[in-house]
Amino acid sequence: MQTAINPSSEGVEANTPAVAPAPVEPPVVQVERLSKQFRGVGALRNVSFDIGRGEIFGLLGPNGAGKSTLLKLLLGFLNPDGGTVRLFGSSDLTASHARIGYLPEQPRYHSNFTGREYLEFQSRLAGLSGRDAKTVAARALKTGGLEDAGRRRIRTYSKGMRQRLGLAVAVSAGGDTPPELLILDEPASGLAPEGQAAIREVLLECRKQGSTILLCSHQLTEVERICSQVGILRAGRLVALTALHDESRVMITATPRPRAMELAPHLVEYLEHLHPSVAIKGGVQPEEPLYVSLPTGPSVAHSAALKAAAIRAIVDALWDITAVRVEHRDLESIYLQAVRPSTKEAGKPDQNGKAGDVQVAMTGKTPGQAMPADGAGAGENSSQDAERETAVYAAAPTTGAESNGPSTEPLPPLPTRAAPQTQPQPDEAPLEERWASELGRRYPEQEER
Amino acid sequence: MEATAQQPVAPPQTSAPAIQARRNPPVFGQLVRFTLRDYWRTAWPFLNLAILVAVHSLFFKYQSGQGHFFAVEYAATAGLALLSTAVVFARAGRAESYAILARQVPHAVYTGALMLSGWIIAGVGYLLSTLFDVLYFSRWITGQAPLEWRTPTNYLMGSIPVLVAAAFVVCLTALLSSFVTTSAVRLGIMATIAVLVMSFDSRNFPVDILRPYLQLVPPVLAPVAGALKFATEPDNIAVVSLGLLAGYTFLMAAAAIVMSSNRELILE
Repeated sequence: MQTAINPSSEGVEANTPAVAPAPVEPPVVQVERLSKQFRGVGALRNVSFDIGRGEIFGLLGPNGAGKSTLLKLLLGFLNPDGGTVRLFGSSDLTASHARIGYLPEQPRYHSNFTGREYLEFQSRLAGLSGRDAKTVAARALKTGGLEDAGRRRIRTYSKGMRQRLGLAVAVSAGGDTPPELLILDEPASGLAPEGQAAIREVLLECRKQGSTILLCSHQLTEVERICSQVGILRAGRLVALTALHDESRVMITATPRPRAMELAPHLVEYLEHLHPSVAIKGGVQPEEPLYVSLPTGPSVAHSAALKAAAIRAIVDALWDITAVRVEHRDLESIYLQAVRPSTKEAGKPDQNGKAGDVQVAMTGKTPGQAMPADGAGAGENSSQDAERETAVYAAAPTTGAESNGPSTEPLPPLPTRAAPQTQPQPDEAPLEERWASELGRRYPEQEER
Repeated sequence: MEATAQQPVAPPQTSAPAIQARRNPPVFGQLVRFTLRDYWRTAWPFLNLAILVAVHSLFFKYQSGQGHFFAVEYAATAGLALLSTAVVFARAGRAESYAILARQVPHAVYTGALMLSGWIIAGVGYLLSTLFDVLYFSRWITGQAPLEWRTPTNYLMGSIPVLVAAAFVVCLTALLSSFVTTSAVRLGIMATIAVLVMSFDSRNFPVDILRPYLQLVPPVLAPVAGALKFATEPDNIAVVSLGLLAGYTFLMAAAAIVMSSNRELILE
């Protein structure tokens, strides 16, 4: 019962759909098992993620986590020790520079030139004629709010002005339209709040015009405001990869009853049709718990009905629900949880770069749900649960009970149902068929969704 | 916040006709031009000028015979090439270059542009030095007729080894730059040069047991000095020396280009 879970989560394979997929545009950024060492010290270890077109991806992590190294690998400044990087589907990174705007971590530019001269030079490197370069440079200066400072030498610029010049250089890389990919290393560093807000406006406008943005930052508030997805690096490992804005999740844990495995494929199919961002993990091996993650919150339509339908389906499919909980997490809590060494990691040496990581899994469609670590039940992460500001529902094992205890959100009345049949009758259709047809009859609206 | 921060950062505009970046634009000339402009705006040209004045003050005070002139210029231009190339590569090795190499600028192309820039700076120094010499020994200063040997043909022929030697030094300096090679390679190059120089007279080599072997090393660096003869007496030995020096230069330039294409960039 494997489902489409994030490719970055090792050991989890994606489910191949039965229908041949239509040709899909390759991700703008495709990183697979990227590793880099400096004198034997692992700067990056098996980092994998994709960034789709139009996304704003935030790359977070403490100092020395490998963020800038990752960006330099993406740009081809460094050669990887393992793994691959593809930009726009191509591994020729230098050729891809025509479509990239880059703001380095330290916005240092040749200080003997004026801002205008430097921008014209950068435009000439992009293949523009002298006249076009002047036009683009003038617009870039306006973008950076440096119109009056354009004729001053860069060495007279303040740190904030250099930062804005760097942003202007990056944004003007594609001519008078933003480049297809912007790679920005700490773009708001050294800027006053109004400058940060202005940069946010520029980035959102770039995205509106089709740019994909990879943003490396320490400023969680800014990242939370504009990023659609974040990856968190810790000691060279991507310990979290999650979507923002859909962070409230209902986490259901269940254990199988006899014959539950026979119904499992139907259950998974049904649950996946409930909502595009349903994530399912476990339940593959006998006695292995099943973890289901559902979106919830005010932004999710019919979230209460969604949760009720999922619970009912799980129970009907002969699984005992052991825990239902709602997780409310902001980026700061995600970040702090991700960068803090876990209990498991502290007690067990890391062998493969993954043990003890905060496992964050995603569906292939909409990323964003944190899943328990391999084999870890709900009760095994109690300390982490507390940090997640988790509202935990009663976790007593049930055998098809209607509800699991007190809830902050009233569950809708469940439709009456027949008691689950554990023994098939001789004259009846197989259990799977009866179950599937009954489920489809009872919850047609969820299936359509 | 600074005064210009009063101006709001504006989103990119798209109302005007689109100006799009080109794929694979010719960037070599732009890089050379930019590097030279950057160099001329530093204080290093003043040092170059001071070196030239010092050379003329010390070595051209009493005479400017053909051999004397080219011998001094040969060494002085090589020195200028060493200095200018070291400066341009040192400046390229800073974090400023990330913004350049993030464009469609291969590392090897940038290296080539830097080498050419260093050679041009040395060449300009040579021309300036020639101008000094012409003026110093001109009719207006000495009250005598111009030097007989300074015909255009003699000057152009004599300039060939000077400029080839400058190119040799440029390429060698590039190979010794962290922008092009790793520290291990640089160490190997310097050790090789030391051995080749000591092979001319192995008696001073510090390791006794290796002295017999050092005597077997051919005089690989002899053409560096022998090429100068081409400026005054272009006989067969001079021509061969000049050809070998040009060959060394070509090989080192190729090595610098190849090594820089695979060189990782960790700029400070």
